[in-house]
Amino acid sequence: MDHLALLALAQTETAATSTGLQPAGWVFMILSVSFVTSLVGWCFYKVLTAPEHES
Amino acid sequence: MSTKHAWGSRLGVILAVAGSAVGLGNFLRFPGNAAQNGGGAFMIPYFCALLLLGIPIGWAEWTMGRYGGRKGFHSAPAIMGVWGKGSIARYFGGIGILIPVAVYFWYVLVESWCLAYCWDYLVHGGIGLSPTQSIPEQVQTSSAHFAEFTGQGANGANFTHGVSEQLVFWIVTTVANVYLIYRGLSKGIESFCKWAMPAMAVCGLIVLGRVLTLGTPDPTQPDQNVMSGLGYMWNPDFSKLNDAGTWIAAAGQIFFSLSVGFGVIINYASYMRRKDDVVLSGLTSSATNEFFEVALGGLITLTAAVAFMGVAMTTANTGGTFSTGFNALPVVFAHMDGGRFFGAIWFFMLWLAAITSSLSMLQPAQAFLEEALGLAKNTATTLLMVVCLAGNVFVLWYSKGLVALDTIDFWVGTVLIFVLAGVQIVCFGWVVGMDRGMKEAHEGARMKIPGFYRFIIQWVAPLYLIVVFGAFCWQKMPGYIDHIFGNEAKGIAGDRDVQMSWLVILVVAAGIAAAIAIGTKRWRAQGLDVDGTRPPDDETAPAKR
Repeated sequence: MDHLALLALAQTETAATSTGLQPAGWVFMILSVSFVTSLVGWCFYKVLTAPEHES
Repeated sequence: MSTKHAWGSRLGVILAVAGSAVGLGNFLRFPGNAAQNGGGAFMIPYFCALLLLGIPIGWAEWTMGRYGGRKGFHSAPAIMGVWGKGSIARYFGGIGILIPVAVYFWYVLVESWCLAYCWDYLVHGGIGLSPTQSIPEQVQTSSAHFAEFTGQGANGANFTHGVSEQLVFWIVTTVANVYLIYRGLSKGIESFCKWAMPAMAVCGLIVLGRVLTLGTPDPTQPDQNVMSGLGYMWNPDFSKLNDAGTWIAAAGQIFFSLSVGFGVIINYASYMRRKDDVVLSGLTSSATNEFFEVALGGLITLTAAVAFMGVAMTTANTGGTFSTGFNALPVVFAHMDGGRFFGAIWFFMLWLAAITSSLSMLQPAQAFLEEALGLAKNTATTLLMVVCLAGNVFVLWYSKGLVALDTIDFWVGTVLIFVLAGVQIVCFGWVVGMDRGMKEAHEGARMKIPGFYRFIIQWVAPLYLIVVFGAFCWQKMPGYIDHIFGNEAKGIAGDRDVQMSWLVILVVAAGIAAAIAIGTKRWRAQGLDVDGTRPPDDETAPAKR
C-alpha cells in the first residue's frame, strides 16, 4: 500500500470533516447511544425480573 | 426428542446468542462503515434495517429453531425441512451448516491473531513500533508486521520458517474451542458466555473510559482530539442518504452483525422448551449486540484513531476490519499513556468477541453430525474437528494476500447468508403462514410482537432482502466471478487460489448434502416428522416442564 498517495487522497476527501463534534453530531450520537443502551437495559430488566419457569 | 443437550437458563441462551453475534465487526467494521457513509446520518438507514430486517428475521429464526426442537430436530437442514415442508427447504437448510463450518475455517485464525496481539502487548509491550518513527512510518511498520505475521507474502509462508507465532496461537485457540465444545452446550458454551460477555463489556467500558478522557494527546496537534474523533464518526452528512450504497451498507452491517441467516440461532433455539420465551430473548440478544456495536464500537475505535493519527491517516487506514484492527490501532496504543495495558485489554476483548462467535460456529455442525449420521457426541466432535483442522490448514497455507480467507468469506460468509435468511423468512411468512408462525412465536412469550410486524415479516423483510441482495450482487459479484473463471476482455486470469477455495467450499457442501440424504432416511425410519405434516407430540399431550 502506498501510504503517501493514500494520505494525500484522504486529506482531500476529508478536509471538510476534520472539525469537532457539531450540534447535529451530538444529537445523533446521544440519540443512538441512548436508544441502544435503553433498549438493552429494558430487555435485561424484563429478562432478569421474570420468573425462570412458568407453569 | 433428544435430551442430551439443553440450556441451563434463559439468560444463558441469550448471552450465547449475543456472544455469537458480537464479533470483530462490531468494533472494527461498524465504525468505518458509518464514517464512510454519512456519519450520524448513517444511523437512519442503520436503524431502519435493524427494525425492518434484523429483528423480524431474528424472531422468525428463534421461533423456527424452538419449534424444530419440539419435533426432535436441532440442525438447520432438518428444521428447515419441517418449516419448508419438504426436501427442497431441507437442502437449502444445509447452508445453515456450510456457513458456520466454512467461516470457522478462517475465523478461528483471526481469533488467534487477537490472542497473539494481546500476548504481544502483555509480554513485549506491543508489536515493536518505535516511538521515534512518524505516524505514517508507524502505520507502515504495523502493516508490515501484520502481513508477515499472517503470512501474506506467499502461500505456505506460515510453514516455511519453523513454527510461526501464528501457528502457536492457532493451536492454543483451537484447543480452547475444542475443549469448550467437548464440554457441551450448558457446561461449555453457556458457562463460558456467561462470564465472557460481562467481561467483554467491562473491557470495553475500561477502554471507552480511557478514550473519552484522552483530551488532546499531542498539544502540537490541536486538531487531533477526542471531539474531532467523535465528530468524524458522528457528524451527519445527509447527502449520503441519496446514495443507494449507504442503504446497502447499513442493511449489510445489521444483517451480518446480528448473525441472522447464519444457522446458529436456529440451532441454539432448538434446545429451548416449548414455553421458553423466544420473543424477548431474541430482542435482548439483538439489543446486546447493538449496545456493543453502537455504544462501544461507535465511541471507541475512530475516536481514538483520530485523536492520535488525525483524520487523514484514520481515513486511509480504517476502511476494512483488518486494517482498522491490526494496522491502525497498534499505532494508537503506541502513543497512548498506558497503551500496553489498554492494548492488551482491547485485544483480549476482541478475542473474547471472536471465541464466543467461533464456538457458535461449531455447535450447529456438531448437532447435525449427531442427528443426521447418528454419531455419538465424542465421535461427532472428532469428525468435526478433523474437517475444521483441514480447513484451517488450507486457509493457513493459502495465505498469500489472504485470498482464500476473502473468497470463503465472500461466497459463504456473505452471499449464502442472504440466501438462507431469504429462505427462512419465506418459509416462516409464506409456507407455514403468518397466523401459525406468530402463534408459535407467542408460545410462552414475555412480550407481544407488535401487530404491524405481521406485514413487515411477510412483505417488507423479504422485499428489503431481495433489493439489498440484488444491489449487493450487482456491485460485488462480477469482480469475484472474474477471479474464478478469468475475464479475457478485462485481462484478468483465473486465480488458482480462488479456484482452490471454491473447490474446498464445494467439497464441504457435497459432504453436507450427502449427510442430509442419509439423515433424511434415518429420520423417516425413526418416524420423525421430517416434512412438517403433523403437529408436535407435545401439542397433543400436556406439556411437561
